[in-house]
Amino acid sequence: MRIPVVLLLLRTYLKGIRPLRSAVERFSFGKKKSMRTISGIALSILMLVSLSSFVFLLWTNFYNYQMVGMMVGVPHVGLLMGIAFGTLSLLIFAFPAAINVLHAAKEIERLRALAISEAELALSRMIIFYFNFFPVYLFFIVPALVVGIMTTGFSFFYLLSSLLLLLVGPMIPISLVTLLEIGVVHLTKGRRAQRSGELIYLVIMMAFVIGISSQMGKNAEMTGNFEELTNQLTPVIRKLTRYLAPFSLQAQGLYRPVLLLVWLAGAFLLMYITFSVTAGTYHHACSLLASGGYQTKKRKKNNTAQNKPTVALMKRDWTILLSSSGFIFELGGELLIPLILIITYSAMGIIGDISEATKALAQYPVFESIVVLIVLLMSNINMLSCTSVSRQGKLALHDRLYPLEPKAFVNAKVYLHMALVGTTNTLYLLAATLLLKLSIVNLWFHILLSLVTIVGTSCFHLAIDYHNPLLDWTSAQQAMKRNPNGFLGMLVSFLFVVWIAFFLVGMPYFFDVSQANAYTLALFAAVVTAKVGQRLAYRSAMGFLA
Amino acid sequence: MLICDKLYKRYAKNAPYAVEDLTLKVGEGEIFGFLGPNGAGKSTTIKMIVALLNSDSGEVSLDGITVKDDPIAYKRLIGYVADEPQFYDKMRANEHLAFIGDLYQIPQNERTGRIAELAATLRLQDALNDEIGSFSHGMRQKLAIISALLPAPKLLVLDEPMVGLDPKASFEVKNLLKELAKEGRIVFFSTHVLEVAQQLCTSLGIINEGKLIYHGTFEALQNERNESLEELFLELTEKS
Repeated sequence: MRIPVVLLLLRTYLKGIRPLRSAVERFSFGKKKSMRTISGIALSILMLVSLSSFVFLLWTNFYNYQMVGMMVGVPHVGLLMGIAFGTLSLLIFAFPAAINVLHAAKEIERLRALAISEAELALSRMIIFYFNFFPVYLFFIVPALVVGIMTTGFSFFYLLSSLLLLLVGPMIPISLVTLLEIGVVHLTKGRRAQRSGELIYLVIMMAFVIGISSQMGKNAEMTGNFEELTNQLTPVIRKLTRYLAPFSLQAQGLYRPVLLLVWLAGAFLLMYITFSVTAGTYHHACSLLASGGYQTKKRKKNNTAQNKPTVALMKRDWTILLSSSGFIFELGGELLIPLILIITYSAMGIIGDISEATKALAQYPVFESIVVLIVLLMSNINMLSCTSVSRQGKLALHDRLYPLEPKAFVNAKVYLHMALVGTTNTLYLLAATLLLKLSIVNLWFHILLSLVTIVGTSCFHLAIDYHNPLLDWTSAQQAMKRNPNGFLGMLVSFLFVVWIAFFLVGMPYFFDVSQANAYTLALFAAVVTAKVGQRLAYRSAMGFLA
Repeated sequence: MLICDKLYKRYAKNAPYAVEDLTLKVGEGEIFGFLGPNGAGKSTTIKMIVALLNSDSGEVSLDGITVKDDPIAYKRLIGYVADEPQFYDKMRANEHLAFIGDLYQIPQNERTGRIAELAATLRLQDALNDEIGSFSHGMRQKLAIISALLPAPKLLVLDEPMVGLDPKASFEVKNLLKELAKEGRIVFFSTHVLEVAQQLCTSLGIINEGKLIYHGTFEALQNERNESLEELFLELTEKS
């Protein structure tokens, strides 16, 4: 294997995508240079503030775990949790990207025709895959490492072992995901049947994470007595270290050289196996994906009946949504999170506890409103519409050819958004009403308010994406996860719910407004805001399509 | 009639014009060949005609309708085949054609007949139920032509339509274009293949460095110089 060739491939990849310049360009809005600079700086600060607040939240969590661990004689629990979160996040987020990055990126076809060996190409793609997800790992691990320094002190060995953890740690989930992806490609012979498998994988992984966290929370019922508290927490912490033994080994390796060497040896062995398997099967996997990715079988029912243009556009957008496992995984995950929560909590018997706990809270008049807002927040924070134009890629420009008003394109996207998010939100509201014994009479109002908010959010999202769509992408993840429009959209979703919360909860709480009046005000605010969103979306679409 | 009136377009403020002061008229029943070296401004002009790009100044009209005045009516009159036909790969060919039919509101019976006829002419009928991602370049080109012709447009604009087509398909496309012209439609296409232009076109335009340097018939051009189209093309583009 020629290492210079691998390095050349990596340099070329970086030159091709220019991550820094692309990111700066994506964060700049407006035609004037001064406006672009200001918007770029403002958005970067906004993003930085959001990231910092997330990092702070993680740090607080890990610090609490670490302190509890120290109380019961297990001094590395915060670090263990950081490593566990980092690794599990990579296992969840890296899997849908694996096919696109490793075997099916657009440039791979051209590279395979060049005089490059399987091993060289495979290694370069594995390194690209690693660097794509390295920041995610960093995001979880760095707060935990800071907690480690704060609680157990700083040493040269800790610095060295932390650096090794940061660099080698992500290779473990990346290797596991790579092996799994190769297995899936070979088992399905490259056919798109893998989609259902991917969704099952997503649900299992998320249920696992939720299950572990909820089990810990269920057992950690705090009491005022220190001795009792220690007695209660000791088995919980022991269980945690037992369940998450590999991560516990990594956490202890930060202090003990022998354990560091043990997990590093294991990681390198896993990487070597992964590289051998990837290199040995590279062309075969690419070939399977290239030949098995499309359906040529005849359908019994020919789905070409005449439709209205709006329906045709919705069907088109639906096809795009299903065209990439990355899109399906992302959106499936977002829409299914509440369902996974309910199923996991029910399976673990926690739903009963929640129901009991809510009995006391139900006395407060704003309780129902808070439940509605939580359900709305979970449904509303998604990237369905704010990456809808971007998902079309360069073909979005073809929409300019069609004899339709820009409004028609916006409406079709909003209808699809409603069909997916509106429906799931209504189902979750129904489930919440039944499980938490909320008022059935108010349910209709809750549904109406939620639907109006979701329509408005979708319109704002479309205004963002039509204003500055990311059309030039080579993998599905670029169009969604790495698309700043997705981040902006989720921020808008959050702010919209906060805005409604101001009327629904803030008004009765701070200004003594009656609940009925608060409902009316909230609905009025939602309708007006949605209308503003609609106008912005139309204007933005007009700018892009006309 | 298609009229391009004093079109100007450049891609950056201080960049040279990609298209400069371009004026031309193409009447019903004409097959207009648009020739020029690489980077001459052919695709930019075509994109302005089909409303994919806005011109910096000047306007395009078709039968008196401009894209600025009535974009929907204007777009209804145009069919476009891009130089590199792109589709949503996971759509089946018949789903894509149904999508086009829905957007242009072509009645079901009419569209079924037209798709069958065009697919038979271009020998694509057996692949209509396949996903477009499995298509070769030539098959995509054929599908793009069928899509463009499905709404029975007044003006058919094709950017390098013969690239990737096998000789038989190329022959069939040429016949199809002649048929369309006979029906009174306007065919506007760009090509690098001078023989194709010579065989097919009733009029031609040569563009170089964004400027239209010749507009007329091949016969008129040849009568002036008594040279082959290849020699004339090279002479004109080098001279300018």
